[in-house]
Amino acid sequence: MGLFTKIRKKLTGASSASAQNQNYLKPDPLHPTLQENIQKIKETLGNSTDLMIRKIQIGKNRKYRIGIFYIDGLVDNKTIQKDIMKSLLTEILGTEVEEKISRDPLPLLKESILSVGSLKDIGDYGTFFSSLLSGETVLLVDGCEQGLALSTVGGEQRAITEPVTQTVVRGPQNAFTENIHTNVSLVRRIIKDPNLWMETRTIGRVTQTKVSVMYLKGIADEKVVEEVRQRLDHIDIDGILESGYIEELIQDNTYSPFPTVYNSERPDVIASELLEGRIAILVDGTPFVLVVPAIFVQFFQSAEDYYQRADFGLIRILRYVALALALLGPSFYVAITTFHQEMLPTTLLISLAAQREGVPFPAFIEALIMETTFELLREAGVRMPRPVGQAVSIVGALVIGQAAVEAGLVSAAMVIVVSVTAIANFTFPSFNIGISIRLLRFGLMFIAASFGLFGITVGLIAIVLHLCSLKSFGVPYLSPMAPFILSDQKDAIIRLPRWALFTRSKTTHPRNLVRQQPPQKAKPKPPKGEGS
Amino acid sequence: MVKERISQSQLFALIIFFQIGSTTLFALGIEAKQDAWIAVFIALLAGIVLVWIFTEIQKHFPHQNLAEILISVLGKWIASPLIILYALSFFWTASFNLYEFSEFMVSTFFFETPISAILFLGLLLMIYSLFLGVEVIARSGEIIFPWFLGFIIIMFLLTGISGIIKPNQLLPIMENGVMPVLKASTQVITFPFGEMVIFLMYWCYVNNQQVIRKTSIWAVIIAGIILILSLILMITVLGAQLASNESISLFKVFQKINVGNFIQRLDAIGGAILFIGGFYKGLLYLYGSRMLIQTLFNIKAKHQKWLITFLVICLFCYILLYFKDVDFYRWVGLQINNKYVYPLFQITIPIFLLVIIKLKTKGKGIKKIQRM
Repeated sequence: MGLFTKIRKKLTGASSASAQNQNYLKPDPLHPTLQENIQKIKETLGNSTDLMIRKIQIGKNRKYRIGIFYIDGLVDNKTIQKDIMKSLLTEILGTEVEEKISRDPLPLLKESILSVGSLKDIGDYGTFFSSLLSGETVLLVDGCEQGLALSTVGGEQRAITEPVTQTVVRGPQNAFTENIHTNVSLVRRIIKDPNLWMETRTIGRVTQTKVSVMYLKGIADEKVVEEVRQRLDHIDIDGILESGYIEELIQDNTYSPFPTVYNSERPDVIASELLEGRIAILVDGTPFVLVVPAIFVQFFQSAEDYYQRADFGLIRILRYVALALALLGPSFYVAITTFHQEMLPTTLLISLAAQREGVPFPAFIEALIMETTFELLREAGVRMPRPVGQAVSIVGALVIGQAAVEAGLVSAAMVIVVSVTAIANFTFPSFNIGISIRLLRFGLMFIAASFGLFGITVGLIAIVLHLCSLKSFGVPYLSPMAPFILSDQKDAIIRLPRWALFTRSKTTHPRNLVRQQPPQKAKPKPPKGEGS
Repeated sequence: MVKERISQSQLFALIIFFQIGSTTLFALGIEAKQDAWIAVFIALLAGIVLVWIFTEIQKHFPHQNLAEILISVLGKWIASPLIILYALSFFWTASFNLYEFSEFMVSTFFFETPISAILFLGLLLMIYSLFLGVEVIARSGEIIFPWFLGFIIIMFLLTGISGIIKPNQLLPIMENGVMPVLKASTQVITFPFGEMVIFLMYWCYVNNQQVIRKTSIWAVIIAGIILILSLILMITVLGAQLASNESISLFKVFQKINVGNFIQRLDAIGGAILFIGGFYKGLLYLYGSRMLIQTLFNIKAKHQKWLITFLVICLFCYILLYFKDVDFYRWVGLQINNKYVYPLFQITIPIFLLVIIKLKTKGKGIKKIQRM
């Protein structure tokens, strides 16, 4: 036990880890003279060339010197020109405001001159730099120990495009972008309710990434919201580059192949999760929004299940068949050809045996080779530069498909098994559950090669036990199957017609359960008495 | 410490797993020949009475397990040896259960594999489940249960449409009078119905104490019906003589399944599924044994993993050293377990316990006893 802790400490460097605070974030107060401030700011930023400093003089006789600071590329230049420079330089000339300015410039600037939408006071270097570096323009007046931060966030960003990872045939075709403000607005445009609450915090000592927690007040479980807040506040890290960072830092169980946090890049999916009483965590810089608490069946639900008519909900069953195939395909093949040949009908057995006659490897090695090759191809397909994509697919099809069989390295049946497994793996609406299934597949293949169907059974029981032990923010991962909740079955494995989905799922403990009028009323009826 | 909870449906699933568990490997009450199913039926009725007795004990002490009940009723000095005896008997039964499944696997599928390898895999799974606790075990039972039951029913149906059932094998009914049937049924009362005594360890976790008796009795009845059906299948497919000679009769029945020359030889899947029942049975016994020891010695949460590891290693070594072969195992099972061990722990002690409880509560009311 002691040894393990030691190794772990060595690996994580836990003994030497002590948070190093960044100097510039210390709340030193601003200096009263502009020149001193400019000096200090330049020094802190290392004379970085994208720091823009404009010194202008305003007022009667141009005797008030003002410094304008912004970072090139982060700001909207038009706003700076029109709403700041122009206001300051030209619009106050000769007005009564100009006379008052000598007394106390800042409130006057705020109230009567600057025509920027939002601004805030700053008094120290900490807020100065955080405002400056997040795209605001800072205004310092010579002789004042206060400054103004003006919201001029702009610059280039990606436009809203179609979702890449979760595509649907029917349904909204927009996806989140890298900008958190855009993402929030996309959700707000769907849910126009004052109860859609949002709180934002900055996480990451260096990256200062904005992370927003969004939930429907009155529907989301207050305890879970509080838990999310606590876990987010607990994070102390230098940088957050993707919501994956947050996911890993707040998830319940690190040593599990299964994801306990759901993510989506579709605003409609996030809106529907919010309506179910779940909590969305938006992270600046990534289109992928996290959703907690997550349950297992969620990863097998696609947005389209709700957009097509109810019969389409039956397709979900197909996904569970795909789950079984993707998880067990190769291991079943290995188990049956190695241990339980008697299970096959004789003709099939003979044809299989004929195919395997020239194959030099035991079924397990054969399966392992083919699965690994496939995983290689798949990984190559994701990582390679787009223009060479053709080459990989041709090589893949030829190597896996024909050449390997003709060369007598693998049997044709094995190729079929691997391809079916692969296709099945692509049917999951969530990419991350596919990763877990891929991992477990190899484990099951190994156990099937050693213990046949008995081994597979043991493996499956272990997986079920593990799934049962998982929780996501206090919600059992396998609910509504275990613990069994009858009323939630309407939207788990299958989806009942819309009029039957009149309560929200109980699994996430929402307080406000009723979603629409009861089914008796909601069920559409043909008009009476108008029969011909 | 958060108290673990299991729900009504989970209890139901666990009881059925437990009852069907390893009993599928035996042709129960086959001493009564073709009347074996009647013997099981009679035993089922007696089993219901036993469940009534067990739940009556539980009713006086909701939220207490067997060890706590024994201590409350008999006092620490008399209860402690009894608890240890119970723990040992559970451990002993778990060893029987595991050995019979490992042996079953070796003798049917893995002729070359050493029994220790199979045992090791099963115990690995068991150790994992024990670490996860009763709530997770119950939940997993709830997930697997529909598959288990569905599979058994499908197997029965497939046997039915394979055209291998000869109903007149069941005749003549009561060829030699009632006595042989009754005699055979006494064996079946203790195995599997009397084994319900282990649920005195689990009933305390059920969140709705009112439904315990109803749920348990229904579960036992359904398990009994499945057992009777499987017996009828064995007898009608194999004939009483072959069914009693065959070491694993139900398995033999599955082997004979043949639908349209395509669905055939389902014994491998059958074996794997039967293992699930056996696994849960062994698990419940081992967990019961662990909880008894844990309660008696008041072992703290952080030391529990050592207790579990120790128990499982003991079990592994014990099984490998004790059981020489199947014949020895069956002899001990039938001659010692069924005649002396099971009746003592499943019938005699519980009835005594109930009588003492009834006498004590007569004037005082239940609450006083609990405080003792």
